[in-house]
Amino acid sequence: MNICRSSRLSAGSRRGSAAVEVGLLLPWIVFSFIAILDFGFCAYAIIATQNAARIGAAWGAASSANATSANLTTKACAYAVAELQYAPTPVTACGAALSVTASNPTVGSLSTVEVSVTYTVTLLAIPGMMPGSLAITRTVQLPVRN
Amino acid sequence: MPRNSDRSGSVMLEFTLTAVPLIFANVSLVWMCLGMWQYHTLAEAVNFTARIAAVHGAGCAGQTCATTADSTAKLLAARALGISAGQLNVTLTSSASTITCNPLSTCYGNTAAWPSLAGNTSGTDITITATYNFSSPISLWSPGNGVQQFNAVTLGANSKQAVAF
Repeated sequence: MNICRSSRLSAGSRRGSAAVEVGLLLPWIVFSFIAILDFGFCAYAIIATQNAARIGAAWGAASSANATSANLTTKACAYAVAELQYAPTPVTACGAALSVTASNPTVGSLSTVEVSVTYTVTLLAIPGMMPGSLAITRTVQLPVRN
Repeated sequence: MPRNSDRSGSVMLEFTLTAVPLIFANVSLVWMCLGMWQYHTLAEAVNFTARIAAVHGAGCAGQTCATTADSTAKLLAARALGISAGQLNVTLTSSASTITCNPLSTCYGNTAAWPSLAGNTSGTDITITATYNFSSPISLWSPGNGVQQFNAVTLGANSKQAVAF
């Protein structure tokens, strides 16, 4: 008799349990979606920003004329815009989401070009964990070839 | 109090109802990861190929190091692991010529020189633009005028670099 009562109770207590379990799991599933998207966007943005800085610096370092050119920042910006054309937050010009600075510092007796690219990627915010946007800065310094 | 027979199978029924969105979510997660991987792979492949092209400019015209649309397309396809060349649209742009490969596989066998052309001198820019239609079966579960379609998202990558020599 006790066994029968226990069986009835457990059967009754199981009603809706699957729905409750899914309800408990749902936030984690949604969190996984957002985390994968954010992580993917961040990774792409970091790689693209690094490439943008390197390409700009490579152009400047190609010759002393490029390194000292008044167009150094403008050219570095153009390369960065091209590199970030298909980024999660697409850019069409240097401005709020993308800023580029370029300089021609000397290290010892070595003339170098330094390009710094800052890209702000828009993300899906996770309150308390992930902001709605993330500014990524990458700097590349290369010696001038000739 | 309801009889046992009234409740029998209720957990199985609930599981069935909840399994559908759960499986949908799991499949979606896997495909989202795959999409991100392809997004990154495409960007890396385009950047790498543009870098290779940038060091094979006018200096290679007529030389053994000269590159063609065929070799550039095959290099890009080899770097873009997991991305079908038949679904990848690529445009190779330089100051001397522009070659469109829609899709990339159409440039296989194209012996036209690129970017090893006399016009692509040191300092001129070359650009490689690639777009890829990422298809996901996620939308198989979504109603769409009675037709089940594979939803597509266009992933892209672009790289512009100066010809080094």
